[in-house]
Amino acid sequence: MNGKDYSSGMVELRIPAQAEYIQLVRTVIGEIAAIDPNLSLGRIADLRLAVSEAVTNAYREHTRQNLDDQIVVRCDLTKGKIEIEINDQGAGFNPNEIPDLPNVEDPERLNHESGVGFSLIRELSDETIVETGKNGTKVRLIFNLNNG
Amino acid sequence: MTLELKETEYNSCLVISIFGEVDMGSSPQLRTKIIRSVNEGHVNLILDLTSVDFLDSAGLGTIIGALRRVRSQNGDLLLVCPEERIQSIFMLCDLDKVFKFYLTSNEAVDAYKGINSL
Repeated sequence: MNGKDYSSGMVELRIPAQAEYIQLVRTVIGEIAAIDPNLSLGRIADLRLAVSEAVTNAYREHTRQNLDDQIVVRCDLTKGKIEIEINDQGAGFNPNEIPDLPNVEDPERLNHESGVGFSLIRELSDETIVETGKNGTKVRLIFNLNNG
Repeated sequence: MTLELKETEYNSCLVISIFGEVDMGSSPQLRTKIIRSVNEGHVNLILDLTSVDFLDSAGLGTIIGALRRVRSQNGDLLLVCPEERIQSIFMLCDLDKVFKFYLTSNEAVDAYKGINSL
């Protein structure tokens, strides 16, 4: 099974921008990832968390902009890697301009209940690619299947 | 998606045990429960994460908010978190330096007893 080609394994999910659907997406993507035996349970958990964060960001953007459009998630299990693409129709953002949070030892840190989602995505994925513009954001998460 | 939340009251603190997945969809339920508990005077809280199957940044944010709320009332928040998987999420965000972790709720309750007897 090592290195098996799942080139026809593209799955696409279209969900309403509602928080209740985020669990559905990470569950489905986690099950797809589990098809390949080369991804450990720990890495599948990492993948589920990264996907959940990316879909949550998309949900927040659609909610903030009051958009009715669906969020589109594509999962491609190909030879050697699993690639997940999360597409929203929001106004876009610059991942390099996300403000830093106060140091954890600063009491001010407790006033920030959000702001770690994207750093978690970057930390957990083998590769994170963001394409963003006025018409939306596409976040691609790549997990290598031979990476434990 | 709903969480199952159970509370156990001790003389020294209130334990809220969380069952399920804590994310953007379910964290408002937890937040509401915490705010209600603090408003009722329970400022020494324990969140038991033993049966939390999944936690993301929205859940972390709710727990950070809980710590801020109890500290503003001169209380504290302890976490019961025996699962490495869940604790590692705090570590990834450096938040393991902010929270006190215990392996069982009994240990956390005992910690409050120690604090209150000082």
